[in-house]
Amino acid sequence: MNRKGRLSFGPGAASLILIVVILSMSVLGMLALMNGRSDARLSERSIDVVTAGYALNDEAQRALADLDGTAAKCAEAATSDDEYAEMVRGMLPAGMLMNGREISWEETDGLRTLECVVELLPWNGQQRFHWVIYRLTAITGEVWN
Amino acid sequence: MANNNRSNVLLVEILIAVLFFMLSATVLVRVFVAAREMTMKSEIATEALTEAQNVAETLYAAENEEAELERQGFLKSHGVWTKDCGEYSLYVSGTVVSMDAGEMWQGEVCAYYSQRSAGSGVEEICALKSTRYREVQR
Repeated sequence: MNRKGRLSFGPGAASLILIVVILSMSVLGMLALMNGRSDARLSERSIDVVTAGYALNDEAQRALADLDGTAAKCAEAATSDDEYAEMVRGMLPAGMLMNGREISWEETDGLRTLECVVELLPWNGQQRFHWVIYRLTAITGEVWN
Repeated sequence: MANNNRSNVLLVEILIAVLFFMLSATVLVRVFVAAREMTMKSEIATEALTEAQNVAETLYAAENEEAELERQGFLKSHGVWTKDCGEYSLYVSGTVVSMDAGEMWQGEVCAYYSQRSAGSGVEEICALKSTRYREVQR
């Protein structure tokens, strides 16, 4: 007569439990899938950023090669350091600026910019240039040195 | 009689519930497997990218690129240096080109998923340009 404490498993209980289990598992599955997708997106993004950085470095190195070729020609023709600097100033490749003895240019792909500055070393030295600034700047304003 | 009917209804309900659970479980297991594969693949991609960057930076600093690649365990085959890193492989190709006043190392460091992680076919992870200009000392 006493029905208290008796567990009854009538029609509908199994369906109810099933719905709860399936819903919980679906939510967990969706969360796992979203986590996987965001991981994949993050790694794709970092691959894009790094690849773009190396592409800009490639362009900067080619620009430096052009500049060095020009400087080498000027060094052969010049007779003094001042004349050498003036000749280099006059024959700078397109897109480069000379301020004092520092030559600057930028490589950009629209989303980030590689700022390059080299110093023109004295005419009769062993080397012609050394790097002063080599800075990658994202369009968001972040600086990646 | 009523009790017997109730038991039958319960049995049919449990049978339908089990069938539905099996169908749902099949779909859900696939979802979990896909999520795990995605996570594993991105872990491999991140690791491969870091390793490719290490190689590219080492090449940038190296005096002799080929000797450096050999020291790092790369093997040369048909002009391309390769290294199997388990889940991914690294490929380095490049050459030193003479310029007007110096020489330039022009190369590329590529990473690919290995066959067991990519399934069928070859899938590229990243391709980094490795370039370094060196002045020829006067």
